[in-house]
Amino acid sequence: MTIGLTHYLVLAAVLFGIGSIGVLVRRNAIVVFMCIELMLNAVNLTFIAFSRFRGTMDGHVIAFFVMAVAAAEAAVGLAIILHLFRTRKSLNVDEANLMRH
Amino acid sequence: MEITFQASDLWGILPALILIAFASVAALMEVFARPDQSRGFIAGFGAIGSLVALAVSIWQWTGIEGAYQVPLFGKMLVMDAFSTFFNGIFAVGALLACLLGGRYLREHKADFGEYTALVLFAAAGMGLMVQSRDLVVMFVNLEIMSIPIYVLSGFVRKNRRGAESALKYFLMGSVASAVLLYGVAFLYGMTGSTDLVAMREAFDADKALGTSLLVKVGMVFLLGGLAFKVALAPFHLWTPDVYDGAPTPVTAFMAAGVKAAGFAVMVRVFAVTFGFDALEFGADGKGWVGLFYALAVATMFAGNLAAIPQVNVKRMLAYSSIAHAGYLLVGIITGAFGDLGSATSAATAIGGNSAVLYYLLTYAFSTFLVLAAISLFGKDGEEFVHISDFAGFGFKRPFVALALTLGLLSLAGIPPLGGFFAKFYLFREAMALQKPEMVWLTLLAIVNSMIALYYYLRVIVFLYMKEPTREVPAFESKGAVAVMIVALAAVLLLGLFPDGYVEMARRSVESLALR
Repeated sequence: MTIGLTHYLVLAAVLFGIGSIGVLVRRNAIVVFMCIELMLNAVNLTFIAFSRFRGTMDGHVIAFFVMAVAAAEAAVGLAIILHLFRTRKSLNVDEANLMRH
Repeated sequence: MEITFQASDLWGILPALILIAFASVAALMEVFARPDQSRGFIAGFGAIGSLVALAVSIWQWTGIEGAYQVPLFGKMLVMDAFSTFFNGIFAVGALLACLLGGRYLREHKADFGEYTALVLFAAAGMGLMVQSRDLVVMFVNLEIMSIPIYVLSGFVRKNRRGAESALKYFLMGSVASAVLLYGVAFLYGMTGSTDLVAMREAFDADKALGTSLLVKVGMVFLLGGLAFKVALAPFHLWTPDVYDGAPTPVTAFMAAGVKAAGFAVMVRVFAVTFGFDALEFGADGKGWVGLFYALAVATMFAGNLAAIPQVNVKRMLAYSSIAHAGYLLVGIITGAFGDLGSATSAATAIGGNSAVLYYLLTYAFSTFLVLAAISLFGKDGEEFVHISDFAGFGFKRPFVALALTLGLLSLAGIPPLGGFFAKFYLFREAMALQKPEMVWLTLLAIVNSMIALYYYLRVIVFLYMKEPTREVPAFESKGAVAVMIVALAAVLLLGLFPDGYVEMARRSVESLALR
C-alpha cells in the first residue's frame, strides 16, 4: 500500500479532532492550551500534505508562519495562565467562573 | 506565492507603520518613565500617533479616484478605498481608546504605558488584516490584532475578573484561529492558492470545484473561525464574560475595532470571492445561503433574548453587541447575493456591503459613547456596572448621563441618531432584493430591534427616574469627556447628514471588485 494524500489528511483530521475534544473536555488550562497546539500542528500537517501533493512550496512556507504565530501565542498565553494561577492558586478552567454569579 | 518588495509598497501600509512606530516608542517611554510618574503622557503620545495615522488615511483617501486598487508586496496585501476607510475607523478607535484609558487606568491603579503600546499594535493589526489579500497574511494579521487584545483584557491586574476574561478570550480566540486556519488549509489544497483573487479564478474556471466536499468543509471552518471573532451564535458564548471582565476602555475598543475588522474581512472574503454564485452548496446551491440565514436568526435572538434579564450593564451591552452582529450578518447576506464583477448584480453587492460599512461606523461611535460614560464608574480595580448603580445619576452628572442616554438610543436605533439611519439603510437594502426569505429575515431583524428597545430604555429609566440606593464612586475624566464629545458629534452627524458617509461606504465597496 502506498501512502497518499488521503492518509495524511485523515491523520491530520484525527489529530485536529483529538485536539478539539481535548479543548472541550479537559479542565486544566495548560492541557487545554496543549490541545490547541495539537490543532495547529494538525493544520500544519494538512498544509504540508497539500503542498507536496500540488508540488508547490507555499504550504511549507505557511507552516513556518503558523509555527511563528503559535510561538507568539504561547508566550502570551502562558503569561495569562501564570497570572490566573497567581490570583487563584488553581489551573482549573471550571473554577474561573466569577462572572457567572 | 511570490513575495516582491518595492519601496513604494510602504506608502500603502503607512497608517499601520505609523501606529507600529508610535507603539514601539510608547513601550520604550514606559521603561524610561519614573516609577511615581503618571503615565497620562504616554496615552497622550498614543493619541497623537493615532491622529497622525488618521491624517495619513484621510490623505490616502483624497488620492483615490474611481476603481482604485494597488497590490502591495507581490499581491500579499492591497490598498484600496475599502482598506483606507477601515484604517480610518481603526485610527479613530485607537485614539478614543487612548483618551479613555489614561485616567481610567490611574483610577484603577494599573497605570502602565504598555496599554497605549498594545492598543496601537492591535490597531495596526486590524488595519493590515483588512488590507490582506492573501488568507495566510490575513491570519498572521489577525493574530497581530488578537494577541495585544488578549493581554489588554486582563490589563487591570487587581481585578480578578480581568484574569478570567483574558484566559477565556485567549483560549477561545486560539481555538478560533486554529479552526479558521484549518479551513484555509482545505481551501489551499483544493484551489492551489491562498490568494483571494486566484481562489476566485479557480472557482470560476472549474464549476465542479465549488461542489467538492473539502471546499465545503473549508468554507464552513473559515466561516466558523470568523464567526468566533465577531461573536455570531453559536460561537458567542465567550463574549459576555470577556466584555464584562475586560477594562471598560478595552471593551469599547474590542466592540468597535475587533468587530469592525472581523466584518471587514467577512465582506472581503464572502462578498468578493465566495459569493453565493461561486459555491454550489447542497441541492441547487441553497445550502450555503441557508447556513447564513440560520446564523443570522440565531445570533439576533441569542443576543437579544439573553440581554433582557441582565442587570450588569456591561454584560447587557455584550449581548447587545451579539445582536448587532446578527443585523450586520443580514447586510453581509444581502451583499453576497450580488457579484461586484457582474453588470446586473453589482448594485446589490454594493448596497448590502456598504450598509454593513455604514453600520460598523455608527456602531463604533455609539459603543464608544456608551462605554466612555460607563468607564467612569469604579475605583481600584472594581467597576460598578450594576444597573442600580446608575440610579439618580442623570441629575448628578447631566452631560455624562446625556451622552450615555444618546449612545443607548443610537444603539437602539432611534431617529435622528446614527444608529437609526444605519438600521434603516441596512434593512432597506435587504428588502430591495425582493426575495421572500430576505423579507422574512428583515422582519425578524425589525422585531429584534423592538425587543432591544426594552433593555436599552431600562438603563435610561434608572438614570433619570430611580432614587440611588448606595454611594457609587464615579471619577471625573477630561479624556472621557473628549471621547464623549467626539462620539456624540459623530453619532449626530451620521444620523442627520448621512449622504456623504454613505457615498464613502459605497466607494469603498466599489473598490473591492476583483481585477
